[in-house]
Amino acid sequence: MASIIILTAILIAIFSIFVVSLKHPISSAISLLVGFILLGIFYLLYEAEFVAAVQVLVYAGGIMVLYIMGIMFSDNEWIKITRQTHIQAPIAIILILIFFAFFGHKLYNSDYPSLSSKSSQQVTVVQTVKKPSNLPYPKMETNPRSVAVKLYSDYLYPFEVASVLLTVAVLGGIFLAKKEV
Amino acid sequence: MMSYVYDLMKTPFVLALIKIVILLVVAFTVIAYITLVERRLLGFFQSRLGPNRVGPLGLIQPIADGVKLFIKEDTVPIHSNSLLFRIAPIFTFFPSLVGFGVLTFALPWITPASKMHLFALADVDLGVLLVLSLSSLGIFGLMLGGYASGSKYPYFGGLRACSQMLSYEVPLTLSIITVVMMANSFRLSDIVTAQQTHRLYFFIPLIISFVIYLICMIAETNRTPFDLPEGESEIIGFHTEYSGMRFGFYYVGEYTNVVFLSMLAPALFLGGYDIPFVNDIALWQVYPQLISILGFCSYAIKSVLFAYFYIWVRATFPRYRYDQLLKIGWLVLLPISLVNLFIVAGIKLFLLK
Repeated sequence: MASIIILTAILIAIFSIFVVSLKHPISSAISLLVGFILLGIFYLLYEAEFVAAVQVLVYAGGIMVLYIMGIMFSDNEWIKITRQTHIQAPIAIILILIFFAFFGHKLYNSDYPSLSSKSSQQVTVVQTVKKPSNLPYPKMETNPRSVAVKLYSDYLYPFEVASVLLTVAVLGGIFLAKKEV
Repeated sequence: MMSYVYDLMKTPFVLALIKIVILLVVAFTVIAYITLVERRLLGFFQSRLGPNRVGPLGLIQPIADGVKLFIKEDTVPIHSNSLLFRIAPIFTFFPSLVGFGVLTFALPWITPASKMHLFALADVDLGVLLVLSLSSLGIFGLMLGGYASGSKYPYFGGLRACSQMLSYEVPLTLSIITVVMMANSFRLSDIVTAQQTHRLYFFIPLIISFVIYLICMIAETNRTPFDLPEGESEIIGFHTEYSGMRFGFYYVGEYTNVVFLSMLAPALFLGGYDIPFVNDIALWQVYPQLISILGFCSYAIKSVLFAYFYIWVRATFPRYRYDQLLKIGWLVLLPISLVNLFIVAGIKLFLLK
């Protein structure tokens, strides 16, 4: 089980690199699609079935269709002749190194038993699959009912803020589209 | 040796593998023969005979079609994006095939020795949601096939397919959500159990959702009167450049979708494996095996009704124009299904406590 999780994570990383490195926009979009589906599988392996299903339904089935449709509608001949990047690689590499150093430091000092070196009891992931009470990550409520209760009680404010944000985006899109007609 | 094989049969993994093989064989047989049934029935509707030359009543026709598709040359156009062109048909075919795994076909089979659920492969917790998310992946095959062909006409066919399936997926999902609200569960067997215990099939209280589902399931599978993406006779569709077995994948994928949605509809609205006018659960406790098999037959008959409905509609209605199609999707079906969702939620909250 642990090996499957690690394999999925590596595949997600590979396809994410494909998204930014492939030349053709459609190839990038398909890499992103595969990445989204793999992310759904990743959620599934961590027993978050509801999030996994919604991930595939919304991101892979909805948003990626719109992306690919947008690419198909737009004329993308100019992409082949224009240089797409400025000389930003050195700065980017430094920023990435800082980011990973910070990330690794946080992970090393965290309380996650399977990741940090400090934990007294070394629980492997394989053992915890047999005993769900002993998970190396915080136990998530996967039942749709409990997700709904959490969403509408504890996380009501972020939920409403997100919905307002989406409404603003929709209105902005309509405004921009109307102007040209 | 035999006892070893028998022990191996009882392990869950091997049992699941056997179930998968049986399910695939049955599904492929049904998919192959629904093409023949459709052509014979279309012939009947149009007062002609239909294919009846290959074997008795034309029963070997699907095999002949399959052999023909296999031995045809598989051409790849020069201007196409060849890798994408090769993998696109698979995108339509497999998502709908996976959906068969979450269906439950009958009440559990009870032998004197043990209780085995022979008629369900993976009755998962979020079955309906899984089905919806898988069916939403089916669009990519059509779009990418149209794009990768490297020709204008399949390109526009792909765009048409994409916008049609996007606009009809929303009302379809909303109509299925009302069923989930009535049954209080995403699990398909729970939905059937709710209909059995209330002794009321959901198409009676949810008649609006049922009609929306019927319309959207035809639009989702791109069949007449909504067959604009392919347009067999006049408009050039997304699979124009395909030939041989890659075309066959699109063809089989369409019929897989037809069979799958006709098998999902009874579970959602017509009580699934419930036998009409009989108290199933009480009888099942007395004669479990008999009721299990009769329930399976009942499910099969209900599915056949929906498949017949597909063919009947195809023989009856002319094709819609493209603007009419989008207007029906966004301006008629979407508002009705949204209002329906609120009404059902209100009834569920305030009347059915």
